[in-house]
Amino acid sequence: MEFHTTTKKLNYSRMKKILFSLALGLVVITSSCDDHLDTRNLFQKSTDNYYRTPTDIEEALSGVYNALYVQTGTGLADEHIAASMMSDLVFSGGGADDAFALNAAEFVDPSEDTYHPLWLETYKGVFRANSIISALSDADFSSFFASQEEADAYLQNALGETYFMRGFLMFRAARFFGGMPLILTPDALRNVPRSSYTETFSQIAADFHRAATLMSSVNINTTLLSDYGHANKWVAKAYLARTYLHFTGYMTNIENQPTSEILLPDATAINKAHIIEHLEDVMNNSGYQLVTDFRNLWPYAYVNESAGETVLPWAENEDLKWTGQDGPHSTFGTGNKEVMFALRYAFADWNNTKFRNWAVLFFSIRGQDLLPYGQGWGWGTVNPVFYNEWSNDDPRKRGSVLDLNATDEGVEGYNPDANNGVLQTDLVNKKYIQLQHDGPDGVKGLFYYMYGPGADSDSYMLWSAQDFYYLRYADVLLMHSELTQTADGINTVRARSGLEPVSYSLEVLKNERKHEFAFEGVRWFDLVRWGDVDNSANNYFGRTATVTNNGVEGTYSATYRSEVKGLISIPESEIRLSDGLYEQNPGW
Amino acid sequence: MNLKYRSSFGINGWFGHNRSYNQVYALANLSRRAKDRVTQSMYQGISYTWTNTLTYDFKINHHKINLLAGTEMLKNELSTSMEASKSGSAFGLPEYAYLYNVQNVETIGDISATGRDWAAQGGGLMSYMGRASYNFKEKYMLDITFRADGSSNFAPDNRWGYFPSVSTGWIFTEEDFMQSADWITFGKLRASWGQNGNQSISNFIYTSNINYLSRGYYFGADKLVSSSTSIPSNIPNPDVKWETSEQLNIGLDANFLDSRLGLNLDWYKKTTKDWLVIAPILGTFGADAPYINGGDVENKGYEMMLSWNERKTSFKYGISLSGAHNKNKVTRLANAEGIIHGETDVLAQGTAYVSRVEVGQPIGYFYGYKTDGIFQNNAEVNAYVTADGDPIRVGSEMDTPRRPGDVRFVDQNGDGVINETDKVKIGTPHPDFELGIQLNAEFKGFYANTTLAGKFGMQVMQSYRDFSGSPMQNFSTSVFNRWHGEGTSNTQPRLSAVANANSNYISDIYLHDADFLRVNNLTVGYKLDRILNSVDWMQAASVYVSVNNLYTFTKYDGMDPEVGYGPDSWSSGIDLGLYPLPRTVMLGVNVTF
Repeated sequence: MEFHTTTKKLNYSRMKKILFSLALGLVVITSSCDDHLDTRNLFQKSTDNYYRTPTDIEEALSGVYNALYVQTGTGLADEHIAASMMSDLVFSGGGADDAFALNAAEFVDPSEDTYHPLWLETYKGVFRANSIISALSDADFSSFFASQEEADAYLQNALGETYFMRGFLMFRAARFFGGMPLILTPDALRNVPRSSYTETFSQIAADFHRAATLMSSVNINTTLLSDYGHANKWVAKAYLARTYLHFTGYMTNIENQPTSEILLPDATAINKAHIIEHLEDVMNNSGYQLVTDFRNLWPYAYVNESAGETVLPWAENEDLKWTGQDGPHSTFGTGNKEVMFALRYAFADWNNTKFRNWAVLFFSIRGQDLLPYGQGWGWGTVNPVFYNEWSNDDPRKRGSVLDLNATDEGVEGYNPDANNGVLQTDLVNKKYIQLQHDGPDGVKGLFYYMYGPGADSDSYMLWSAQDFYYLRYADVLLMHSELTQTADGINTVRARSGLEPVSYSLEVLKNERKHEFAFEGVRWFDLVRWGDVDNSANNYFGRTATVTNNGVEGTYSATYRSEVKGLISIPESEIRLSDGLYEQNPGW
Repeated sequence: MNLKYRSSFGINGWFGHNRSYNQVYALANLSRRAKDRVTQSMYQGISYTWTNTLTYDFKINHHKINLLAGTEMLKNELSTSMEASKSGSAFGLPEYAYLYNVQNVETIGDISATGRDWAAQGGGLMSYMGRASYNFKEKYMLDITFRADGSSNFAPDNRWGYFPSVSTGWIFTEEDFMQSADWITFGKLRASWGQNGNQSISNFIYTSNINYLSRGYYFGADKLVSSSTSIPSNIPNPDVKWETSEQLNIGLDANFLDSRLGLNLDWYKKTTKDWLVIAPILGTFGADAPYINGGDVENKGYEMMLSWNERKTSFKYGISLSGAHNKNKVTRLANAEGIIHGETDVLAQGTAYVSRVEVGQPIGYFYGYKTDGIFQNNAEVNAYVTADGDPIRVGSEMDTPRRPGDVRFVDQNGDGVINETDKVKIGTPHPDFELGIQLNAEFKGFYANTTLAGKFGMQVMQSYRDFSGSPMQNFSTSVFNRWHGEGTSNTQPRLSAVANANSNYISDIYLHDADFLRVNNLTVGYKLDRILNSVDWMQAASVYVSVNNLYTFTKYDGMDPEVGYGPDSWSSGIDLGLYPLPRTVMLGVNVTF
């Protein structure tokens, strides 16, 4: 619909109107032209008027956490999957189409940007964190609180948590990529070269250190369920310890530069004694403790209860009771005081697949629905050499690995030849696996029945809402053992799995970590920091195992390429965009 | 009267509503909908354009002068839209697809509703213009124009763009000394130079904005509704300003032999300055890339048109031939690298970008490895060595020796390794030459006309399968022509069970010449005028058959050589098996009353 009114000829009766509109035209021209062009953004806030209230800060902080979710077409930009593929405990598996998986496991990367999403999300989170840090540095929130002290305490905790998250995102990425560009303020120059490994981890340690200092000591039993998922002082301290162990180990064993401290950018030196002190603070004051039965950490311990019948006889026989994954006051399960920090996955829908636990989908049994185990892509099949060397007396073995030939696991219908899988071993990790049972809507995922996400998430590819545990209290104990070279931590961890005490040696510690944290994305980084990627006595690389490929028996051994020095490739497109600023990692 | 005031007020209004229904289906695991969904939406908008001009005409002897001053204002008054959808309708039938018919929803995901009025944010366009025209005896002409345009899409300091232009003409056939030349009916020489602006970007690029995420992070026990989450959404560019297109044109229009022969010649140089483009930025920025004034692009070329029209009693015919040559070149890029890379994962998942922009090259030219055929036998493989006699290796598979059936990549820098540094320009999506042909004829009521268009000298990058990410995907029949033994193919490598460098390296094996000449239209008809001579109420009538896209002469093996697609705003010529141009046949009756 369009119409125009035009005055072409002048006559006296119209003259007044014309003059009026001419005058009006002139008014518009002279006075309101710039007003006319002025706009107001009604649908977005701007950084100029944001970060002003505690609500703004909480929303913005949630935006930093949002960068923990990584959208990854191939699965490999997910840290849990990538760290598993490269480790010696699993094979790449999958099908013949999954060349990506095999390439990652064999340390070749013909693709352009395999790990690009991880790189991108890291810096998105860093920018979001920097925006908060810069706004909070001169903020005064006293009008929102009863007293100045409360306002200050709020700011300190918020700032501390933001520093933690910036450090965490950089730590997550730098353990893979090595030295990275350091972006420390929202308006910092972005085209800067990669910092060295030392500078990068020094900055990460500084962030964790500041977080540990700023945040207040709160016993986790007093925190609210609605706040569960936030990092706290204890998590920051434990990550400072992880950073210390990783950095000093890497420098000593991979770079062959014996290193025993981290020098923060402000020249504060952090040494072993400091770290032990931090860990002991966590052990004495945090309220974290081990779950009584290791197996109760994992959702398989809940599938019978959720189903309302015994679908997993083994769990029934062992009297397993899941602790849940929502902290001490977990809605489901008995309460979990062991998990200190987790990636809080939820349900995906077809437009947003990054919110489900990628590893659960990728690592589950290839193409076969069994009860109570559901299907997935069959990646990360458990290395039989590792499995066979693991003592059957250790209950964590069956608590961590599903043997598809077992008789009390509900997997009798398993057909190894049916699924066009490669590098299949009939052994699947049990910590992160699809679980399902029958119910009012038919056979659906465990989490589907727990939360009822609705039709948009009604697919095994969408409903793996299991959290990924970044850090368990067991790691605090084992790190303490490793640093103090005492067996106390090890023996506490062993005792809860009913294992005999041992005396300390590095070898004992390494074995303990391998078994305790198998398939949790920990092993690969342990191998790297101990230099064990290059020490065949301490790894399973090159150990030949029997596998099936499309149902045909064959052999395979996991491999490592020393040239890569425990790192992955920098995204090619970033190197190009940097115009020569970034250099590719060695061996890639 | 010499002074004229003209005020024109145009209103553009639009409104509409929509209703849709998505039914339940379960075709496969990945293709299913468990609950039906009802959506209703409405939109409404009004914008106005108000133009005020004052013109003054006067004449001094033979000097005719026309002056104009004016303003133009565009404002969006209303641009509102609302949409809501709900899942799980009570009737489960499209006729009943109204929001009202979904009474009880089960989860939060079953409802969505949104509404905005973009116009409420204010803003629009404002222009001031002035023009002076001069004409001497219809022989010499001169036009000078100046515009100042303001747009809300830029920060206050950069809102205004200033665009002058000048044009001159000389009708030389009006000169006394030409009056005796009967062979030429009309002749005019033209020259013009001018600038105009482009502001088509979205608003608020100049500020740093906060976006709310519908799904942020899941604190607490709730896994269905995320915590309220915000992020800084873009990297602001406060300096973004008008893009200017500058055009220089020199031309000749002439008619000869009683206007039977027509000739138009044009030479032009069009430069786009401060090109508005979203250039990829380093990941370290941590938010979406902004529009920038990314560089300058130059188009230079000539156009020629020759036409012949003649009428001989009952036979009438006409021919027109046009040809255009254009050369596109990027002359400046704002970023340090002097290169903008296109999207990756274009031809297949996990593969490198295909197009790029580089100073001195045509915009969006194809970039990749040059190949020198396929290794036919072991002797050829063994001869694939550097100057020093070392075997040339491929970067992504250093330990895999070449074998017959593999692609022979050209080692441009002679370092014995095929890698990024060996990539070169392999083609361009821009034609060198465009041809147009128009023919028409009429004889005793029968008439026929046809138009043909051709483009020459450009290439297309083609991929119909995700060869890298999913090597098991179906092939087209071209796979029968692959290398499968000595002498079978020198362009398509051997098949292999897994993707390798042969396919994953973006090379000219995907590049195809796409020259074509297309019969765009052929119409044959008959005018019934004579039969209708006695009918008063009908002035003219004809029946006709018209075929669009009748035939394409080309050696290109894809569906359509004229591929516009490119994943970036500036790339083109990438054929991923998009829907080709259809052929349409129309039978028509044309009646004039």
